[in-house]
Amino acid sequence: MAKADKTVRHPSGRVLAAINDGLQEIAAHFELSGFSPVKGGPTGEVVAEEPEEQDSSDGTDSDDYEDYEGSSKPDYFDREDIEIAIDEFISQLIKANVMRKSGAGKAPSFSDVFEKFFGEDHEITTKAKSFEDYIKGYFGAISPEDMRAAYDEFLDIQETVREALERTHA
Amino acid sequence: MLRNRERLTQIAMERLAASGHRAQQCFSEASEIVIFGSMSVGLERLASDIDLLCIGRRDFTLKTHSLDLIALKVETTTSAGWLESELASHIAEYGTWLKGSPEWCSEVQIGQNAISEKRRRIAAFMKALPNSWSGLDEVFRVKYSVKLRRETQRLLLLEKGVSVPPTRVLDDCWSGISRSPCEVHDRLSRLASCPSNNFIQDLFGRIDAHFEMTREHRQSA
Repeated sequence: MAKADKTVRHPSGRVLAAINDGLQEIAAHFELSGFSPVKGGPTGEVVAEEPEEQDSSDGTDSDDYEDYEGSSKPDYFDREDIEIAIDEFISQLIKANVMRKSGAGKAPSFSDVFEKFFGEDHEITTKAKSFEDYIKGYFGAISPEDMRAAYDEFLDIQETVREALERTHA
Repeated sequence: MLRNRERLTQIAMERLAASGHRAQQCFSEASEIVIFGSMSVGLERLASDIDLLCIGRRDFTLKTHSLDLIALKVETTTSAGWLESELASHIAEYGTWLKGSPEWCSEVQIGQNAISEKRRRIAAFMKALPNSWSGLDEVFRVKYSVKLRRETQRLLLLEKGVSVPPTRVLDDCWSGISRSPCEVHDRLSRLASCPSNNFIQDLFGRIDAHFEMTREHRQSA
């Protein structure tokens, strides 16, 4: 995955474990939004699950789907929710002393995390920047296509982190 | 005014030059070029970006640290979606035209969709943040308290049919615009999904502290 370049780095097991834990927050957000990886899919292909009528036995809150009324798929996703999930991810890394705020008290961005630990030329950093572009949205709304593309990038990022973490355990 | 336009044109050209071919193409093809936001009214801070609307042949957006470019097709500016938007009303009121004339501005009127969208956005934050608040670093709590204050200020103005001024006016001069010091507080309370919890108390404490600070600053100035 990594290009042969001096600016590609190899993060420690502690850092990888913290990133891996933090990414779970963002994964949970996508799952709550109706996305899940297709089991056995060729390249982590994803589908937006159809919102279904919920019964009380499955423990989900049917109000979660109120935005989908009259349509089998959402017209757009709220930028606000994913923004908070990413900020929680970065907050976890700050708390774990994995990332620091700048001298001016500015928090790092999602892609800053990967640029710092994997290097700016690593594919994971490119994917993190691409993920940020997809979720920029337009006046607070993210199209289902962009959300799906963002989730594709996210799954690749998560997979890369997991693989790197496994290598540190081997 | 002419001097201000020359200065703004020069800043826009410099920042566009550093923003790539497509941005420059939008600028050179545009039949109307408008600067809006804080720089248009001379209230920019040292690190402010320049907000630029180019009306021409293409839809395009670009945001860098120094430039926020929105390019629209000419036909878009005659649509109800544009003419009733928060942005169109802001530009019509506070924009500085570097090229072309503001003919469409006479048709601008804040629409119900703009108000509903603002309410939706605030409500979305107010719904999601209580669960995340304790896990967010202080830098993000500050970010969201500022964001929610500003968005609520904008909502209050939109609901009155008033164009939203540049952000610095919301930050520093709200007492001159608002009817009551509690207006933001009260409006946010009505958009909160659970009105009494630690998140709400902390959020309101931060918002009240901001208004208190600006009031003291104005009194001492």
